[in-house]
Amino acid sequence: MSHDPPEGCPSIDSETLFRSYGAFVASFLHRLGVRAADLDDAVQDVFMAAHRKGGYRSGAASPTTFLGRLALDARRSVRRRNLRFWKAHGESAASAVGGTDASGPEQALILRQTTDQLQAALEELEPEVRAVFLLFELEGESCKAIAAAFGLKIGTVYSRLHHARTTFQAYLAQAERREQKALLRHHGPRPDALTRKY
Amino acid sequence: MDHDPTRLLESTELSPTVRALLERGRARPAVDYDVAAGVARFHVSLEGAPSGQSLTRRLWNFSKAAKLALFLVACLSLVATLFLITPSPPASPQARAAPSTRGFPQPFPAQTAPAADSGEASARVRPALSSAEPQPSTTPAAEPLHNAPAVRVRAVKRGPPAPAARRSHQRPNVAPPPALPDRVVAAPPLAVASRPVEVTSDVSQSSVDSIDELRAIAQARRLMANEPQTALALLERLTRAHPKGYFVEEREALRVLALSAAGRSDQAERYAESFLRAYPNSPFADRIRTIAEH
Repeated sequence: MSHDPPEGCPSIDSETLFRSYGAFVASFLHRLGVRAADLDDAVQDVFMAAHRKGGYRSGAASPTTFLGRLALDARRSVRRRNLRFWKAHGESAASAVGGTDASGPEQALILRQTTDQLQAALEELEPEVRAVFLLFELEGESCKAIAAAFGLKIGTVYSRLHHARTTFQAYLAQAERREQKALLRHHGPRPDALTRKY
Repeated sequence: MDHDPTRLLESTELSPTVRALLERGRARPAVDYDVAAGVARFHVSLEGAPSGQSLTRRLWNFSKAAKLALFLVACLSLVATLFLITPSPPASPQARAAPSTRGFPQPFPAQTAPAADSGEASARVRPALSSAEPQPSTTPAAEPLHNAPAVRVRAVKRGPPAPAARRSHQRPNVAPPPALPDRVVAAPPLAVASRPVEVTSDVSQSSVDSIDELRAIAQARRLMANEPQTALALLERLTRAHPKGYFVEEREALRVLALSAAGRSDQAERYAESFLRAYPNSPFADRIRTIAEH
């Protein structure tokens, strides 16, 4: 990820947090399912909450897990504010946003498909489980820091992580099987598939 | 960190699809967010916003805690009040079998003697009712009585049964006639002496019984100056009728004063000492202490 944590700071004020972790919080909120129209407000909510808490104070929780917890709370409040929209459009409202770092149209399409596929797999997870999965697998945080930030027992973090991994991989495996069936239906079996031995 | 499970990207058995997705998610943010614009907006939002736990927020938290504490105290007070208001059952079967004290100046018939009294006492009382003459076996008042639990006043016995309130209006002074001490089967001083002073603050009698008890206390106080033996008998009767009465303190104080007035100094001192132990801050304490020091 692109955020650069301040080095050796026992406590970080809210503005420094914003500068260092703003992109992470926005990405995290997006992956938690916050739609693009609400993203800026949600980011502001996260850092205002951090400001009310007096910024980050060093402890068992890392700045990333600290902000992750606040982002999960902000996601709840945004969802509460826009409940009618969420009911109408479901959890996949945020899937229209994606990074655009492709060199060409074909590359951009591949990246967009990958982003959508990742988001679709994440949306199979409950928000609390998804937050643990994102912080551990994508942000590289430790289970101890996650537990401290979210006020959970370490066993609960392990349990959520296990559940998230199982669901995430099962969804992707099922999506891959569906894709292969669709290909077979339209184009016939692949040449290598005819000789594959199970 | 050492006990954390292996991350999926570090696993060798990960499918290529999952690996590609996770690498993509780890390498690039999900959205392009303009941090500078966000910080500028954040600056605007920060104007006037308190940082950390502000004084207002602390006061708000304190007021919430105070309201909760007041609510709990109110609930506890309500429960305690309900508990005290609820009339308690009679203290013992003996108290249930005791005669009603309604109209206390009414004489004490033999059948109203407490069930715990011995048959000897009942036998001693019945002849006194049946004969007009004073019983020769009647013990003089100055002599200590061991087994005479009841007192009988003939003048009061002759009166027609009437409600206590009406009788008290007609005869506010119900003191017995001058010949009364000769007609009295005196109270049992020794039995009283062997019984410790009961110290209780429980209101175990009903309000009606408390009024009757108070009336008896007032009558004993009036009798105490001229008829201390009669007052003692009344107090002993009151002790049996209301063993855990509401005016135990007044009763015991009057008993000490009556014993002193009757010239029974030894018993008066014993009762005075036990009274002062039980009620050191009583309004009667000064007078009782004077008796105890003699």
